[in-house]
Amino acid sequence: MVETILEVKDLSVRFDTEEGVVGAVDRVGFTLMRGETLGLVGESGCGKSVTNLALLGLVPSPPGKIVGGEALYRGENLLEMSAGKLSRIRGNRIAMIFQDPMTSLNPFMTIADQMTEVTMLHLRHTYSEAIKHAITMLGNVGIASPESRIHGYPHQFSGGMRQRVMIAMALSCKPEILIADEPTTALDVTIQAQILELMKQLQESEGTAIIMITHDMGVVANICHRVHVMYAGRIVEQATCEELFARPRHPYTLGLLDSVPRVQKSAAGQLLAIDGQPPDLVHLPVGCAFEPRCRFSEERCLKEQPMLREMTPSGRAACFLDSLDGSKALSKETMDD
Amino acid sequence: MTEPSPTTPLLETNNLMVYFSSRKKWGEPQRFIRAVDGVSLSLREGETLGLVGESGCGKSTLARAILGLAPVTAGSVHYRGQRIDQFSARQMRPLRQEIQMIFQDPFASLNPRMSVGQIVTEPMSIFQLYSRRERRLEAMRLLDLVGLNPRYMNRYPHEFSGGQRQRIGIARALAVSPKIILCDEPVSALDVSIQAQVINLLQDLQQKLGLSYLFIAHDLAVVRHIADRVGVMYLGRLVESTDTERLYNNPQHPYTRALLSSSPVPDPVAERQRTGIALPGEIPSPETEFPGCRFFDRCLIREASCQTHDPPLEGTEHRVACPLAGKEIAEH
Amino acid sequence: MVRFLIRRLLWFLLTLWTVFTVSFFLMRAVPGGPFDGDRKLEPDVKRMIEQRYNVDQPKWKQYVTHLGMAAGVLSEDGQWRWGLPDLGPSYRIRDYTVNQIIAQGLPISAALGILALSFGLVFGVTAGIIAALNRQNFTDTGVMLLATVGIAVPNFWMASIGIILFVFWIPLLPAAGWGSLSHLVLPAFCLGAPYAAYIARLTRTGMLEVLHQDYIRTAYAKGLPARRVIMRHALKGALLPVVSFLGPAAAGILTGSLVIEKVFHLSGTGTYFVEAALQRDYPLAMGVVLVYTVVLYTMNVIVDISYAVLDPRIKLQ
Ligand SMILES: Nc1ncnc2c1ncn2[C@@H]1O[C@H](COP(=O)(O)OP(=O)(O)O)[C@@H](O)[C@H]1O
Ligand SMILES: Nc1ncnc2c1ncn2[C@@H]1O[C@H](COP(=O)(O)OP(=O)(O)O)[C@@H](O)[C@H]1O
Ligand SMILES: [Mg+2]
Ligand SMILES: [Mg+2]
Repeated sequence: MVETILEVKDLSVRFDTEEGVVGAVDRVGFTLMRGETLGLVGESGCGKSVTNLALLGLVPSPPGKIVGGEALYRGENLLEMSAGKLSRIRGNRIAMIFQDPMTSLNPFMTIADQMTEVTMLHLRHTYSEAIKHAITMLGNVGIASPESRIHGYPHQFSGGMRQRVMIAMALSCKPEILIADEPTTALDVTIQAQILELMKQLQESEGTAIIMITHDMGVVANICHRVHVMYAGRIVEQATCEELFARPRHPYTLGLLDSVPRVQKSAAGQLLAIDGQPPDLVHLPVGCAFEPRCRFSEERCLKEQPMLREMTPSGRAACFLDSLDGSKALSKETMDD
Repeated sequence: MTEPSPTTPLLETNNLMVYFSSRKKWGEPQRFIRAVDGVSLSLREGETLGLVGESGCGKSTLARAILGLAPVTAGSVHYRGQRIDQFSARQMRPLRQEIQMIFQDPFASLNPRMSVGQIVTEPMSIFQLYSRRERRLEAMRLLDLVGLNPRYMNRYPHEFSGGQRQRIGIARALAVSPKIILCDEPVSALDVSIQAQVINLLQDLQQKLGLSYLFIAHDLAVVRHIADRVGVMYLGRLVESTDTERLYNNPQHPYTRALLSSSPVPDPVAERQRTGIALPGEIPSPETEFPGCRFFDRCLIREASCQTHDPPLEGTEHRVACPLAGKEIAEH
Repeated sequence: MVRFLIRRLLWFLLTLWTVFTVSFFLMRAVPGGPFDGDRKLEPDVKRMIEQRYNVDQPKWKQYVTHLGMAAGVLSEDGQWRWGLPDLGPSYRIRDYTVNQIIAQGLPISAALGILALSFGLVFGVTAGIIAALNRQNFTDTGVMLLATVGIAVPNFWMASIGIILFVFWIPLLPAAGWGSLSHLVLPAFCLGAPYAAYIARLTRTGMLEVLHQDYIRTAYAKGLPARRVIMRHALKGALLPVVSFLGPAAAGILTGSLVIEKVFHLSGTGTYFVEAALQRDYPLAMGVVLVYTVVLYTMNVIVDISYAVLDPRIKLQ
């Protein structure tokens, strides 16, 4: 029996900006199981980062505001927890790594200082215990001669090495949940492959559950067990990884899959791009937010917002259509010939 | 000067080198950043030549050197058989009309204080093309061509999304009717759905206008999709170069093979079965001097001789800079 | 580091020499001499005095003698010696050498300057941090308003108000003169206030910028309490602009001290400098100029070193 360790229900986050109220996250819900990797995909600006920052109380406020929902971790609502209690969870039980390893480490502090402060705070390590632990962690993430490198500053490390340091730091208290916000987006492919491999290994040995935020379908296929697709602040499809790629249920997911060129397939004319632009989150349409770009749009989509509904035992999608099969066949053909 | 013949490529570099001098420390010999270190490639009329490699391998510098925007240390650049790397700024001017460039960052490469109309007509007025009235009409036609509403003429760059800004950049490049466009990672900063739109646009334009592209990217899938021929760069060198199908179906250089196997594909079944060649280590500093092959440290098929022997790029149809090319990679 | 210091020392000597030379000829280029007082001196007497002070010699000879003395390699009568810099006798303050006058005035001025600068730093940095953390609410607006006033008000005006307030109205502090440290409180406050205000603004801006950095988000994500994040992770970066302002601030405080010392009747180097300049006391004026050069140059070296200490990415060259 797999155990749920995080359950998010109806999370909504807004930003008050000069242009108006941005509905960055709109009634987002998901569950995370122990030891799994849950993918969160979608184009930039769709609310992936804000969803996860909200869980840890890190949404900049003002302008941001959590306007509803709950996030249950071990039966307690993270969104209503006192600041002190939440900070005992942050970095300890739930850790986070970010997209840009070049700016996510403090340039003014040595790696040693940045790593030891986490375990000294949460695990009550003495400095010498903390240093020993940090050196072990750096070794685990594949940094050569960690005893000497640990006293260096971030600028003395390459991008890939800094992301390794971030991972070592995030995992140093053996968190139950690791939120990885586009951890490989800024890295070269060969380094990305190394980091993904490292994350998989560490997950195996530590049993950490990972929320993997990314916009790269290749990364999703590589590392995720289940996937949630976000569009304009909402989750539009939830499925297992195999299901999602084999039979996407939401037209947006289908569009995303069709628009990526494939490295193993030779070019076949044009890519099937999704027309148009993502919507402005200040002025969302009444109906389905994807309707203006959708190949399957109907009368109904303009007036009514489709809710997430069960499509298969393990998959849900927010679309009125029961199946995209006919057109999927069509897109397959154009890709193959 | 050689007469251009039908077989002469449109654009050609021969053993091109661009070195930057790094700050010299007292008592140490002068060191060089070998950004581009002996690259020979050619671009034919109407084709797309892809250029891939990790960041810092010299792709942008190569493109800038072609346009005379980076100092050429040695080697040569020919355009239609004419040597252009020693041209003065004045001699270069007419060529700037023939060879245009578009950039990765659509945010940084557009002047925020100029309207879209001004951005697109500016190159026309620099080269004194058309009358003033015609310029506006031409700009509107170009906006339409790149898929932007011509009514946007009076708007400013900040009012557009990333993909739309890239379209503005493309319209600006097309304003002087160039023959060649050097595309420096034009889709790397864009979301996948928008990236596909821009790739389609570039392909469309190529067909309609008979353009030639030097297409720089680090995404191998994008390059496979758009390029006719591909060159793979590593640390300032071209390590493999051939036509696209051959390269992707039968990669020879160990670096190309590692790059290909490192790119995750959007297919979980294939991903789970994949035995990736995880390339160890990282790209060394371009200041390092290598007596032998510069890929030696990370190579999975290396032999002792590689450390002292610098392999040249050999072959005619399929050029590879590795004497052991194609050798079985040992499981590790 | 050693190379940096050696290099800076060489530049320092060159700077001192340039300052000496330029001041020497500039002072003497102005019409009038030290001994053309209100009373006409008998020609004989004047000649004697001029002989006593070597003013009768050609300019270049005077220059060489004075330079040699200042460098500590010549004595007043042109003999080789090896010792501390000697700036010669004062022309107007009888029986005192410039060295003695500076030795007497410098401690007062140094105490005043250091006090003013420390005051500016402590108040400025604290106020800046408080303002940044309470961004856009009442505290922030209040602190920044005060800062704007502090920058705008000239310090002699603030001095007068301060004297009226704390000396006559609520007699807490002595009015003027020099005796104990309490004599310095009010002058240091008046001298340092504009710098406190400016530093507050710099700190606030620096802090707000740093608080937006990704690594601050990382620090919060690690579970560090807000105070730790600010003091350990944000402060260093926020202080960089303040540190680079310390050079100009020191120069400003030196200039300001000329006025403030006068207002509060402190007999520091500033007062002597003004007197010396007015009365053509060349050696004394020169002495003070050289002292100021040393102070400013040292300050700038300290700024460079602090910068490198704060920011590991910067290498001293
Ligand atoms: N500090 C902020 N102020 C105003 N709007 C914000 C802020 N942060 C995020 N947003 C808005 O929230 C939306 C979701 O952002 P984000 O979660 O960062 O997207 P992504 O999916 O790329 O991670 C964006 O459209 C953005 O406009
Ligand atoms: N103007 C310059 N001065 C010094 N070094 C440079 C300059 N431009 C580029 N380089 C160096 O040359 C190398 C290649 O850079 P670049 O051509 O931008 O790589 P790419 O485009 O493949 O990422 C890098 O190591 C870079 O630091
Ligand atoms: Mg994000
Ligand atoms: Mg580049």
